[in-house]
Amino acid sequence: MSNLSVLRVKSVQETLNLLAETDVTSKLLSGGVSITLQIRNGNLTCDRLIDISGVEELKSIQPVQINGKTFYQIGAGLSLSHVAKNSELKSKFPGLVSVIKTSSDPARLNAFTLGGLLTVKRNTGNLFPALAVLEAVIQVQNTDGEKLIPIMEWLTQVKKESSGLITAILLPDQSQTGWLVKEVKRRQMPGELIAGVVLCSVKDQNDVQSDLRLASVVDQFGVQRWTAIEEKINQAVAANDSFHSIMNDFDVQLQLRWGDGLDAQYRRQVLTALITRGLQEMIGSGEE
Amino acid sequence: MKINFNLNGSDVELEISPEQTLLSLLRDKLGLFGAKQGCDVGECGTCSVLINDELRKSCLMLAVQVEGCRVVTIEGVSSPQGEPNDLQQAFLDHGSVQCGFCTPGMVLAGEAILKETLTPTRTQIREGIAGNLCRCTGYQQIVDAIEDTAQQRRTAVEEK
Amino acid sequence: MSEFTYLDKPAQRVDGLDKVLGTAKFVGDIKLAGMLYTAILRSPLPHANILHLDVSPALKVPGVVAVITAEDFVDHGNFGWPVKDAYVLAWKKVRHVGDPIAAVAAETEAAALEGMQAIQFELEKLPVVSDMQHALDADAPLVPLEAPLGQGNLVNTHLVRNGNPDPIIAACVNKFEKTYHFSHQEHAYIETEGTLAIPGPDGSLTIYSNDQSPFITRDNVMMVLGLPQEKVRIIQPAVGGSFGGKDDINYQHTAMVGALALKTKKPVRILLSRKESLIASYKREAMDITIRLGADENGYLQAAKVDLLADSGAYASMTPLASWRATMHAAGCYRYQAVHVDAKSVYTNNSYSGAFRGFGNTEAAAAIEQAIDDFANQLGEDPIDFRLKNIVRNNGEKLMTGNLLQQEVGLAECIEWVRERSGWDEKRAKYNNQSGDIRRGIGIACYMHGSSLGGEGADYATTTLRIEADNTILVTSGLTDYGQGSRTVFALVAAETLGLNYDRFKVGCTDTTTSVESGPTVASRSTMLGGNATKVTSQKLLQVLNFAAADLLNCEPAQIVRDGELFIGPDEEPVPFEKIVEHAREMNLTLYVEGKWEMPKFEWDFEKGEGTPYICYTFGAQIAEVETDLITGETKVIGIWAAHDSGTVIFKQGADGQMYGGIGQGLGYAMMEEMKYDQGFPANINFRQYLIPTALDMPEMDIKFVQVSFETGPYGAKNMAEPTMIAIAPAIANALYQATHQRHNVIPLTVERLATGIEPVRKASPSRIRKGLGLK
Repeated sequence: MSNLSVLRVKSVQETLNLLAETDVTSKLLSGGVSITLQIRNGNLTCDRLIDISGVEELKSIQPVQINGKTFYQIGAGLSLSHVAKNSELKSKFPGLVSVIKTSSDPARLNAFTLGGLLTVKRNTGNLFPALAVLEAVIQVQNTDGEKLIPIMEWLTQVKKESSGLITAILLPDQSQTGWLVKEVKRRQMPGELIAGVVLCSVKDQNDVQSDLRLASVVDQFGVQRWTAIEEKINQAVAANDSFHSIMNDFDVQLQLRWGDGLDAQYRRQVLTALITRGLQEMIGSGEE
Repeated sequence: MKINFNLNGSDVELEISPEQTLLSLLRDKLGLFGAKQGCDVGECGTCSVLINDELRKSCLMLAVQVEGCRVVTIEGVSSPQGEPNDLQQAFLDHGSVQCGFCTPGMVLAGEAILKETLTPTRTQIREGIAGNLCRCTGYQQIVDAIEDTAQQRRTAVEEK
Repeated sequence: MSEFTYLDKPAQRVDGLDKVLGTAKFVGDIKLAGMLYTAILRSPLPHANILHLDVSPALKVPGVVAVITAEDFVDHGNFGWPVKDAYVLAWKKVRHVGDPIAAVAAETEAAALEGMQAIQFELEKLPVVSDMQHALDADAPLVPLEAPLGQGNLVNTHLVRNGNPDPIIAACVNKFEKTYHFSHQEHAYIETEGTLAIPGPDGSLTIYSNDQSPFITRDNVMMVLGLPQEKVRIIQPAVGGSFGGKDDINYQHTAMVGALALKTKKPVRILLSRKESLIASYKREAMDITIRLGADENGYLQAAKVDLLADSGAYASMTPLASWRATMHAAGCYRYQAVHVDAKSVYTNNSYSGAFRGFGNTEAAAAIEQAIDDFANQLGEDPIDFRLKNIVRNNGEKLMTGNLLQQEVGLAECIEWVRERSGWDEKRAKYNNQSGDIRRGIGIACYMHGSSLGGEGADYATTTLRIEADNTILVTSGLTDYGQGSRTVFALVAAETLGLNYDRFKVGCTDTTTSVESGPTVASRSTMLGGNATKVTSQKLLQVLNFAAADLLNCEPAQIVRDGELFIGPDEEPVPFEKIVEHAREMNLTLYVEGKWEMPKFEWDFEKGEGTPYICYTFGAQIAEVETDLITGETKVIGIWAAHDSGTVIFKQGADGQMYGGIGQGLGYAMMEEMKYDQGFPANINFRQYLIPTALDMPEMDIKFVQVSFETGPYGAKNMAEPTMIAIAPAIANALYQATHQRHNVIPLTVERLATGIEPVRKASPSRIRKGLGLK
């Protein structure tokens, strides 16, 4: 057995101070799922665990103003089930709440924390695609200060478990005028997806802009936000055109990206179908 | 290291190892064998316990995490004299038990559902036990037992 | 069925209370002072010669107490029946991934693991037989040490010769031929395999093993350890599911812990991790079944010809018998003039295959029931009408095996019930006209299932009853209860026969020292065999009680009448049971009885493929309604209706549970369960990769027992555990055919297969397997 130690902390500052110590390696202990599995697999590589479950600062849900814009700040230490039970979020982000509720089995929903999943970049169900279309921003703190990192940048460009503490997830205050989730499962266990697609259309605070956003998760190919397609679709909608040629292009792109293996072929077929169906339901076929 | 928590109604202080899972603490140290080890990676639900009234898989958490928590295992569901509670009795009445290996976890998953609502639909019950695998029963009589207990507890509340 | 006091009435399972309270003790819940833990060195390769094996480094690891290999057993631990081709620990070569090579006992689990990792061994890779279709090729590498039939990898053949179907099929206006494939299925009992041996001071062994058949376990331990019967006692604790799966692998484990316990003089336990269990345990055999049928111009079946090929894997285990059962059912519950069936089982390096609920008929029924559906569709007939025209219905009718039915048949009634109940006619018509990507379908399958062992071997059971000092009655049986509820069945039969309150009866766990050998607990035979034995034994005990009552009441035993537990003589003064027992004790009567029941004799000629394979059959029909997505393949079973001709139901909740649970396993088999082998390496080594149904995958099920009494059975009961699972896979496949107009000819119908017609090959990860086996 190693000489693993566990330190219980009460504040973000305390956590940051401990993380900054360079003579010992630390990992954060939040819901415990990932750490437990690492211990079991014999690949937990740290000297100590910092138990942040007692940090109350990480458990609040509140609107905040950043650069003149309103965001909902969701504490990273909250479990998914607590997020899903919050009445303010239920009214403000009903789509997100329903995605969270079906993103895993009940016991895991009680264990997983938003910060924990984002730290190890472990998506469950349609959670990350939902955060992607809501353009969530990850609030990370380290001793140098605070950083705000857009979700897709976080998932694709920031190294796994890089130093720092995710303190909150910020959701821009926009009303979702449409919200749609499509998914395919091998069996009906919540969260066990082959593929999932989240579509939403939003209005910002000033009620000006209304656009459609699209993100997906595919088991072997990860989470994607499809901004290029979104743009084309929004143009097509504005021009009252059909989006079918866009989807054909999309299919070709996927083929280039994923190759032609049997797995990839099936997943392409599924993802294209889910997006097409979602678009049809959200905006109609665009054809007379 | 030491931890303090409430286990099945009693406050306890225990010396644990930081790597130890809650399941291992219960089984290997405390001799509480009601929580089973079915897969040890959170896929089967036989190790389910309630932490502060919420369902958790005890193989997916470390013992240190229950500091200050209320932990209820299957041993804490029945009366101290070993009388089954209403849900356990409903499992017996509805034939919800076959081999019995998933049963403790199922009972706790059922309790977790009933703590949320006394008017669950059958689909909600199925969602509530979706993380608990059973290979014997096809789940139907388990759903029956939880549904029946919800009805009984509802009636009891209404009569008060 | 109102003539019964206890049977087919709500009753609480005898072992239920401990299980809901969490106090039932499974092997993993038993901990003894000084108990040693084990780690088993298992082969990371599917096929290899053992060039070098040195366990001495393990013994140098602190905490390690003993290590054993094949050399520690009589005849190198050679065992197996009906083919003696297996070893407790591999000798000379390993034949599948997970084959055990050596076992280490140590003071802690960690030390055992470290010791196992310290063992020096060298394996020389051999070419792998991964495709059963090529196992008999001239250049196929030989999997067993010696070819049992002198024909390479051929394990066994079976046949049915009922008339000559060739000219009949040739002359038929309507012909049909197709091949159906079936994949390996894992039992996935939620409790993994576990065994604990406790050495006695006299060199004896007491072994707790979560197996199905303790007497066979005992005989194996005696044989490989060279011990006499009085030195080996096997006790079955609570068992967390088995479904056929805890036989051979537990024979190995009991021998290992037995040897280690004798060597160390300490209790020794083996408990598998889930990964180890998935990698090393045996499976349901994969099968390819080709069916040829002929029917006349009016759609009446005339003849059938079936070829079966079964993948036995590395060892014969129960595949020779399971393939026999498959052979005996291959043309299904239909009337034919002539039937031929030819079956072969072959060795490969795909794990190994053994007993699993349905025992060959799961595949056989799924093949013929898909074929019947395809043929009905080809002829433009409604699948139910086509079946009703062709099923066996009457006592005296000829079965596919050529023998005549000697019982009433409830099959037509089962079919009519599920048809009516499911709204078949309306739904079938409606689903014939659909458009869009989301489609529904409704499908049926029926079955017959030969009761008990049939021609497989001697079929008997013994029950004992003892009135205890506190006037409770202890029931023992050599047949075991691993969750199916047989102990409750025995208590109910005893209560009914003796006219005594059900809660007087206690049923012990099977223990080879106190129970009487009753053959294996397999083939859904407990209710009929154990039930009859219990009835016979109860009648004997009743004679004793009536004798005592007559003595007490100064009358003849025949004059005693009963009112519940009261015994009443000619003077009409009721005397309670306790008083009768007290008097019996004063008379020095023995209040312990043993009773044996044996199946009436009948004969199947294995050489000629003729005779009577089973004394009786159960029948049933199941309908499944599905909704499927043509593009994604995602499918939900939205309704199931099932009727089973079980004879009399004895334990109502238990019978319902067998039906629901059987359907659950069948649904998994139909849709998601597939153990895949990639050049002999298993691709599914955890419950994320091998999926079994959750509560959300199961629809609400509507079930019925059609109780056509069978006079040879106890109170008219037949059996149910296995047959309840076998119709659901073909029913789902047939429903999917209606929905999609695609027949994939493969079980399971996974989402990918449904969407694309192809299930991609899953790459196995030899390095993850090594890790899963604890190797560095």
